[in-house]
Amino acid sequence: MKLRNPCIAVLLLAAGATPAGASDLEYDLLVFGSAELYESSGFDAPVSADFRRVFVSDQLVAADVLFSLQKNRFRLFGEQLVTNHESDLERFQIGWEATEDTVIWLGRFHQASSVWNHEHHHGQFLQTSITRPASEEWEDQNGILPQHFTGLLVESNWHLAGNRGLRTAIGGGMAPLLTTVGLEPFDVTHPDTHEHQLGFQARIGFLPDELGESGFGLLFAHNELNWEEGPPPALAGVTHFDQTVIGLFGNYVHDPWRVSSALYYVDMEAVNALTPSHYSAFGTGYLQVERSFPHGLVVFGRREDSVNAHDSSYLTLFPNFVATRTLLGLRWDYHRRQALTLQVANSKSLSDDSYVEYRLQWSGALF
Amino acid sequence: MRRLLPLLLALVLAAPASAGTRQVVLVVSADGPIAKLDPIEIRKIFLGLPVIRFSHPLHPILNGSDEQLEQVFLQDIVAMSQSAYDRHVLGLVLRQGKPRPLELDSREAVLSALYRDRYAVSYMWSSDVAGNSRVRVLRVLWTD
Repeated sequence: MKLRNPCIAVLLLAAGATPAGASDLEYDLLVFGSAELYESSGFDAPVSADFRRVFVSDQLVAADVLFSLQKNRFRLFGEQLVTNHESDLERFQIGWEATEDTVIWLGRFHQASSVWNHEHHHGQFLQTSITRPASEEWEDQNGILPQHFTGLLVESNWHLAGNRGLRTAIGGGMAPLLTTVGLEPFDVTHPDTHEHQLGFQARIGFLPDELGESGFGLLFAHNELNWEEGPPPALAGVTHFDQTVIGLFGNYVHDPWRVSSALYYVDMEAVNALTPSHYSAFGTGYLQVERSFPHGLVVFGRREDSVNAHDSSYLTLFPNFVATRTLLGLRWDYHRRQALTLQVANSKSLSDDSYVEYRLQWSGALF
Repeated sequence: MRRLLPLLLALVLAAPASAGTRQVVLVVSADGPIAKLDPIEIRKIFLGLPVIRFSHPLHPILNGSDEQLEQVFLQDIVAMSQSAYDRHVLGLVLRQGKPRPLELDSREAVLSALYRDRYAVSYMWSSDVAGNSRVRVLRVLWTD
């Protein structure tokens, strides 16, 4: 067997586990590593401490550690992200294969209605671009849509005639809380269910070839977002936000091209204890195009855009949300499971900061 | 004699080509119940998708004992580049918490794993399993 962590392997072998394929009890350990250099220019205003925390000094060195254990129909799965400034248990799930095509998960998971995060999670190496679209950002990276839930997730594959397929995911659980600096997900290592409300998500995707990567589908989410410690003065009286997300997504993969896109319509209801609820809506999305060349080179570009974002009272809580961004980059898979990526992005945030980011990253799958 | 000369020459030239023909075959344990797999099922197994026989999922074993064998696997079994296949199997763990296929780097290790696991499926050079009664050849995957 190639490349397995020896310490974990010894512990598991002592417990009777073996690598995948040799017995009823199987395990895997996978580590995605990344290291990044960042530079920016063109800020119209001095960089705030919050902005710097989120965009400038965040996650320059990171290791995403994945661990899975499977025995017959049961799975135990975890994802721990360790960076230069944090160590978070991102996912921790216990799964049961109800059928060969359906898995029921309990635990902390990434929400079902983000295709980008379902595809890449925290595995930087599997993501062609260095950064993810603003609409798919994690809560602690100024994300505007809840991404981490603790509850129940059901994932299924459906086989259709003609080798076509459907993939579905339905989840529900405790939604993140609203704070003055963004969203705060439920912390399974320090559980406190007080104030957390529920959220539900669904994704359905159609695959013209069930063994292929191309497909398209629909996304839905409804989240009740409560305050952690009450609203800021500008939103006084707002007891919570009800958020409904309806989306479309598509992936087209035809060598050497790869195109991926997602569009979200987000309806926000600011529920007020003193006055009638206030409704607002905005749209956000992205289109990414990649083209492969010989010698492991990939050129990619992405456009992100938003509509009505400046009119949303909810988004006043996220002044650093990137409303528009144009991005170009070059990735070089110079060695098996290792890549170097150069990326330039021109961004404009909701607070009208316009800036250019330059990033250089190494990423790889280490074990 | 003049007529025989070209014939003899042709036989001499043809003999090495015939002796050099190589085949990659799909193999399972002879003790196991797997008797037949179609090409779609074979691709599914090595892509990490469930293929069930007698209520048991089949286990893929990647044979990394030989570079040419790896190329045959990528081109004729999963129809992917090395990079695309790597990304696919890494995604199995990342997305589904599913352990990656077992990857072994010697012929002996692959045979040993097949002997142990009645539901394991792998691929080998036909010359490596010729006369081996402990493995069953299900089909020829590639011929040189």
